[in-house]
Amino acid sequence: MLINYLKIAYAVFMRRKFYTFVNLFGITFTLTVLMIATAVLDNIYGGIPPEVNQNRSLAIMNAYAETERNGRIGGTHGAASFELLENHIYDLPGVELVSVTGMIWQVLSYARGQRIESYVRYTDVNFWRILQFDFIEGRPYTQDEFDIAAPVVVINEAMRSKFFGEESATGKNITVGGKRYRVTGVVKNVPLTRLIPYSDIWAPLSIELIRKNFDPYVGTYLGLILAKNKSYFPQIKEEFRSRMRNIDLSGTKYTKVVSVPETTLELSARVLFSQGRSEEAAVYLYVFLIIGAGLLFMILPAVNMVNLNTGRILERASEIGIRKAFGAPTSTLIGQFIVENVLLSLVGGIAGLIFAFLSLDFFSGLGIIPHANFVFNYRIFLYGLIITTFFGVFSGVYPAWRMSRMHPVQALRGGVL
Amino acid sequence: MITLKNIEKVYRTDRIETLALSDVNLSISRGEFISVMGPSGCGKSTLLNLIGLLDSPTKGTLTIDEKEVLGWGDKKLAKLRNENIGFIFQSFHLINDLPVIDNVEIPLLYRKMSGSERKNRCLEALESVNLLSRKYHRPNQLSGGQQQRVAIARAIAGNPSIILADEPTGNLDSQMGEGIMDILKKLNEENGTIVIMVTHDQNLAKQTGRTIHLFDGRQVD
Repeated sequence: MLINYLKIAYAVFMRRKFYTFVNLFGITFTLTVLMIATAVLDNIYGGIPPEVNQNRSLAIMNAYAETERNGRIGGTHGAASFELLENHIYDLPGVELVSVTGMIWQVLSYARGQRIESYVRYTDVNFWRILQFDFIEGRPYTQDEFDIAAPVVVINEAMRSKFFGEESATGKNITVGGKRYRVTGVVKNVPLTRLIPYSDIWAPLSIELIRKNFDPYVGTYLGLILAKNKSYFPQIKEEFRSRMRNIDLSGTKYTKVVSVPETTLELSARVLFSQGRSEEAAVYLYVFLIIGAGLLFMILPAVNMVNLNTGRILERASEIGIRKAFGAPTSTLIGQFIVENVLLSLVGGIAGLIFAFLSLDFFSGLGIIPHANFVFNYRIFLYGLIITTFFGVFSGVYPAWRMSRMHPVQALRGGVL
Repeated sequence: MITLKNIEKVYRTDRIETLALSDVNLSISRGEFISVMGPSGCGKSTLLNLIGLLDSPTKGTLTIDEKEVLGWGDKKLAKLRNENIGFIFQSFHLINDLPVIDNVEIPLLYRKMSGSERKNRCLEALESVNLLSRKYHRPNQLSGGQQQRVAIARAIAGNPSIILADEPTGNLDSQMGEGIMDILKKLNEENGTIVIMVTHDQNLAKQTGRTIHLFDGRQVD
């Protein structure tokens, strides 16, 4: 029976080539865009190296210290200060590891006759334990090296090729910002979309002399927390919030300090939608908007397909009448139409996947986002498959339902829906 | 085998009510060849659609094989049609997108049957209408007479006990019409298949065992 369906589906698609093209174009274009969008989202939020522990990680990226003078409220926003983190990040409940790490700084170097602009991030040793970087060669700096403030660094692949070409870098020295460092290891490039691990060069925090920030609360550091598991998140957040509330602010100009551990998704949601909303509401709104935009984008070609398919049913009224007359139950006919649509959608889906694959490769090559490699992975393929099936079923069900209401006698006369 | 008692069929639209059939009583036994005659719009096709379970009467009872079928659901009716009834239409109603053999296969698709068995049945049906050599042709590559023979092959592929033919020769010249009539007669005589044929042609009607005359939706015997 399926072969009969496939033959007729093929014949119907070929009969009106332009309609088929419009349908296929809609699906292919939509899928391509959606696949690229999911790849970008995956690149930002997915649990890919080095953030493989992302599902149980929190980061303290921001701090806010409020002032009140003559009834007017003001404040300082920024990253957390070193002191704030040092004094409050340890001994939180349900925490496996914590790390206090600097933000990235731009530094200049010269090597092989070239001016090299790069970013450096000062970290502690736990940074390498929480984040699982792919080491191409060498290793991260050790606790001993950290403790004695040894001038060592880990560099990424891009820096290695700038400093040493194709040669190995481990054990060799580089000069960055006027200082000499020994390279202990080389890691794969991390894309800029990964705000926490991103850098070109990583060095021990202990060699960074100006650890103190001008402000006791707002500064240039971030805290990383690896929870034992995700269920500890609320406890960790509440405990840290409570520690912030209990900071003794007497003798300072501040009336309140606010800082909270959050996931990368919560961070994006807070930055975009926190105005007048709770943290949870902002996340819901952000996720809702992402999914909503995706669905809306998918609905347009799906509605187009529904429309075209409903029109096609009239063309096929006689066939429907014949099949009904010769004993096809309505449910079987509905199945046939859905199979046809899923088939068309799958063809569009495969084309979409190929285009997405090529486009991702192209966008990665353009280097718009430094080191971003939009990989076509199995998860994105799965999203594509789900999206394609959704298309097929969604655009087939309604026309099939309309068709099922067609009376066999009317269908044989030419059909009235 | 087929019994119609006090059958009435009314078509209703928002404004008009049309009485298509009124007080039709009919009893058809196994092996009968019946023709239905009457002017256009007298209810011939409606009668055929009711017997073929494609439509349901407004009043009356319809029994096939001693089963009262009124009120049956879509699945049950579809199964009964599939196993017992074959249709032949004036305008053939073949699917031009499919080759002849796939057209003939349609009634068998809705039965539990292996692919090879389906194919054998189709080939047998095509052989009985002398069209085996055209099995991979598209319907629109055939003449009218050949197309109607494909439609007959489709109607008999499932080996039904009833064949309903709605003006099967209406679109054919007299020679081709005679050829179709010969096949129907052979089916009726050799297999005992009930054939009910709507026709305007007196000569064809004369070749059947009994003729039912309709006028304005009523039987006039």
